[in-house]
Amino acid sequence: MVNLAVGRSLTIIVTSDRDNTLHAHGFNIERHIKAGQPLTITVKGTQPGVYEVELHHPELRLLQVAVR
Amino acid sequence: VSTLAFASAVASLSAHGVGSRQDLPLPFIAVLIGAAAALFVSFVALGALWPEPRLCAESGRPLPSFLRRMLSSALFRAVSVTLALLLTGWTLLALIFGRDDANNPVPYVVYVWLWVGLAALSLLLGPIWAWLNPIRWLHLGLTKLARIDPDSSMTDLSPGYWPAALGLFAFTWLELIAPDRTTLHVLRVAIGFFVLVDLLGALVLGRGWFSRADPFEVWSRLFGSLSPLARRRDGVWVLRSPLRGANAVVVDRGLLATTSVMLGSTAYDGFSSEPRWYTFVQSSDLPSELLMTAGLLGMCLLVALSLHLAVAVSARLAGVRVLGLAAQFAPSLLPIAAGYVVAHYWSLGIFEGQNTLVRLSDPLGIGANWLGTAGLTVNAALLQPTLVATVQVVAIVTGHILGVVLAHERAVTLFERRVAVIGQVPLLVLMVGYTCGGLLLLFSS
Repeated sequence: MVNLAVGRSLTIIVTSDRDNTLHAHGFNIERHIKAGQPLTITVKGTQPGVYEVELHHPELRLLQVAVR
Repeated sequence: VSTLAFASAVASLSAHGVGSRQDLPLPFIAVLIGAAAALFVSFVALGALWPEPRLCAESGRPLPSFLRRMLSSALFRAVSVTLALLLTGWTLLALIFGRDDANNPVPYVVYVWLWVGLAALSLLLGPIWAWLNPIRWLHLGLTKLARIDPDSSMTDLSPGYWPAALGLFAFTWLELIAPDRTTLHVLRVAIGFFVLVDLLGALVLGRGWFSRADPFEVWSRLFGSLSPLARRRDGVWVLRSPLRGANAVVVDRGLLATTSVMLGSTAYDGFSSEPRWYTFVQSSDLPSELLMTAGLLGMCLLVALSLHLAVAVSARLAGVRVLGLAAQFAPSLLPIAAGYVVAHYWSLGIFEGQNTLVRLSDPLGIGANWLGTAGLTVNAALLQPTLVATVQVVAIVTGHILGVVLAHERAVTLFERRVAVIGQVPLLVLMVGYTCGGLLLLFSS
């Protein structure tokens, strides 16, 4: 679980060994990843809560972002 | 009043059937306060509570007469049933003709309103699903058409609460584990199958089927037994202590299984977002659905077996037969299950409950705004972390207190007076365990 203060941003770099979809819940980010190519997303903490970042094919939870 | 941007367009398949946010972990100090309160209350209860049974169901303070008249009036009943049936029809419209995307209201209606919302309304108002249940009305219509008595049963066999226990387990499995559980093709199969089985059960066993076997009616009845609002046997609407209703719950076979599923499934939902658990699940070679199903079943069994164990020790200490005793104490788990549900689903219910209303305005996914609610933004005033943490601890501890008092009442009813205090110690230990477990689940996930 990664802590993120309200108002701050977090940059996440994800590399996948196959074509995939990255989904950052609650931040409204859904992006395609090409196999082997790093994808960079930045999420900003607005509303307190715990949000999951995951891959969809197959389902794989990567991390939880705790916005405080 | 703060508002949240309304997140849409992306499917949210997280720990819950629906929902894209979870609560922050409970602060450790709140866990300590809650656990200390639970322990303190338990020991005070041992010494200070009444020595003779005193929770008779037939009491309570009658409501003011205009409220009583309104609640009993045919008009009020007709309006509320019509609204429930309209909502059902509206949802079926979205289920059959809607677009299969993240803006379809059906998964929200099913997983948020029907599950969390029904529990909340039942806790406040009583077993409302007993008279709103659309399948009950469908059954009545069909039996009227076929000119058969809706109450007639083809058999003397009674499965008790067992069908409800299985139905509730199946529903929580669908909500928490089933692959593609928010897609319309899965929901169509699940809802179609449920309606068919529920209807067949009622046709075979008569209308009495619904009150013991329909999972949503049992969900509503058992939580509704804790409502301060109740209709006395003589028809008078009264305000009463939640304890009286829960103490009057009919003990039948399968009740223990049902309450174990109600408590265990909520515990599993909390447990499933524990990072160590899901890291284990998704890095295992076994299919994750298999492990998650084992986890859900394990939680329900843990509740049932731990109650059996505590009751066995109680029976030994009190010198009574253990057979059937665990089921007698099953209703004391109801307030604890209610505390878990409130603590766990408070923010989901408020956040996604509003999102449900937004999505209902466009059941067919054509960009319509038929209810005028499509542009609502979610009001997050009730989701502030301190408030949520307070609600969670208060809910868990209140459930614990009510559970302890109910178990005490059962103990002085079933055990001889001189052993009633010692006989309930194992149950108190068990409840302290459930309460600390519930607080720790909120702390660690």
